[in-house]
Amino acid sequence: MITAGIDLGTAAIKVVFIDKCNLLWAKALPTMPQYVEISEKLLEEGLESLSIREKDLAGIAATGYGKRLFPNAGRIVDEISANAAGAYILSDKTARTVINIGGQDVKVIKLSSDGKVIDFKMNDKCAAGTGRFFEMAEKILNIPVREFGKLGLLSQSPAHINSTCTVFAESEIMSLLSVETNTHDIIAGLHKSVARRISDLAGSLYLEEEIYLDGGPGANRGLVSAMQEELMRDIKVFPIPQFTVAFGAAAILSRKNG
Amino acid sequence: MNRETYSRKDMEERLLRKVKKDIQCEHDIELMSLRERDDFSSEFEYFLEILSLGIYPQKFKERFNKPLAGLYCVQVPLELFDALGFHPFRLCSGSLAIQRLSSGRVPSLTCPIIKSCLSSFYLDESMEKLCDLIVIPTTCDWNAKLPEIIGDKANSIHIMELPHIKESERGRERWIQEVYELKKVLEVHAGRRLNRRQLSSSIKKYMSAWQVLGQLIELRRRGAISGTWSIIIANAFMLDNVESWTEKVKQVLKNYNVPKKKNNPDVFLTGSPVFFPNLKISELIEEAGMFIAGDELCTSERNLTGATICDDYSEHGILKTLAERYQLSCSCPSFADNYRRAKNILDTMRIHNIKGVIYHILKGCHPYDIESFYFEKMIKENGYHFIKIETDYSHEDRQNILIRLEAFRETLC
Ligand code: SF4
Repeated sequence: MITAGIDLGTAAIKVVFIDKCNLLWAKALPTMPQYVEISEKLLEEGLESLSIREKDLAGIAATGYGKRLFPNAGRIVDEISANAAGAYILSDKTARTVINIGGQDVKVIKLSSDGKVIDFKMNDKCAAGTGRFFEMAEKILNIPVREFGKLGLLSQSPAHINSTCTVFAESEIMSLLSVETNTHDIIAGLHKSVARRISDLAGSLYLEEEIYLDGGPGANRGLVSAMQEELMRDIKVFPIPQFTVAFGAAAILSRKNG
Repeated sequence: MNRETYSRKDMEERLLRKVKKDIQCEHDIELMSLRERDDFSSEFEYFLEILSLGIYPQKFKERFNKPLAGLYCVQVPLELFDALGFHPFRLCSGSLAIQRLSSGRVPSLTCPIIKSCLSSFYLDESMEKLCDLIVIPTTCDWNAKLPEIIGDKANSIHIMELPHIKESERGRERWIQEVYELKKVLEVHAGRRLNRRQLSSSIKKYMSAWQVLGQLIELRRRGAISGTWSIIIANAFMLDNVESWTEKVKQVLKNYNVPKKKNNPDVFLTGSPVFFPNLKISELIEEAGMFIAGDELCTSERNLTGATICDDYSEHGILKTLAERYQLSCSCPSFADNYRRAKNILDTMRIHNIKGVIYHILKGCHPYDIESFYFEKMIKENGYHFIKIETDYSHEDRQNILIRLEAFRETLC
């Protein structure tokens, strides 16, 4: 019984196909105003590569900011529940704390031993510490964000970036560049400041010894090591951190059907 | 007249015209969305009309045809005003559009309620400006500084110094003195002395209002009227004549019963005030599929100060009872000894089997913000779910709040 999950995020649209709890296919494309068209295109591509037809699917679950925009969704799942379900299954039921860094928000989710959300925190209006923050840095530094992890780890003395505001951090980076600060140090400083911000957000939540990280920026090793230091916990990253939420939505739907 | 002065004045007038148009539009949009709700009923029309008067100050004045007394917060005894021939009403505003008029005049992180109220003094005509007297108890720091900020824009302001420790003999005595002082001020404005019989009759009128408000709360606990409509009705109480309001609520009690949706879990709403036209938080909670079975807002259920029961019917006895009732039963976080607030919430949660608390903070509202940390800990320790939503009157974070509320709902199911 194959189900599809679509995560219509602010930075990327992610589509997965799963069979019960096994991932069969996954692909993401950057978000553009043509939300629905992109989602349908990805779905078609998935169906084709799995050599199945839409009517063979047990259903499609939608989650993410644009979840209500997708007309063919059999089930709408809120992104926090989807994230929790995905992380729980993909961690082989061991995840109790999950941190998700999305395009526009950061979530810290606490799970019970049976995978239910018991508590969570999510940033409000400010985009600091999110994917947008890295996009801003990518532009100013003129270095692709996928290089950040590797470069940040080369730093011997991370720069101090104090602003928790994306806009102010931008001017801080500009002034660091103007005094010829090494870009490795700026990138490491950015990772540190994001990690600090996430640790503040987690605030009153009791965090387990082991934290699972997902969302696009989860692939950034430099950020992971900064978070490890800041949160004083082990950080585990899912093999495909960008797809946990779409996976969770599909899993919730297949559980309901199954 | 030099050119620069002329153009500045011209700009100010243009801004005023624009803001007035925006306020009208903001009101109309909210009224329309309320009337379009599935659970709307003609019984609510009266309450919406009362709330609409906020943008027609002259009509408001004509409706009452008596001296107007504008009050901040819930600690000021309404009965005293009524007995001396005033129409007392709450100066509270949920308007975002109006706030442009206070920008540059107060810190940007000022409580939105204060920003909106202050802005009303910069309109050429507003309920605030029509007040013969404004009474401000020094609840939070914003209110303590408000008279200074309003300056000469109000006709007359009386400040009541609210003791921040209420459960002590000292605090109570102090508040009684303040109530006596208020009585004196009102007598001067009214040009006559307080009459004990009239005071008793005002107390009776308000007792009927507290009674129907109590019944309305029961209706809501049974799931037969939504949180948003309950807040609208309580908001109207703060503006209209107590007798007309009581009659209209009786009609709601008699005719209205729209059961909540089966799968919507009950939640309790607490924190900063919610006032028309800013019903963002209650509407989003409902949109996320939850039922606000109770609240503790000073613009809604906290209006229910309870019965005034005197054992001494001398003027002093009545004034003392009134003063104590308005002070002691009030669970505003501006009091330092405020254990009653936590107790009230926990009791309601337990009795009515409500599983989650939504704690609403308007950015800049420090008393609620400060208490939120202790409340989060206490509520979770008691086995309930808790979520804090910090926001303001703007709409840009609606989607973000909705995501959090939808997930919160899942934790309750
Ligand atoms: S208590 Fe809060 S909402 Fe009320 S006036 Fe003070 S800051 Fe504003």
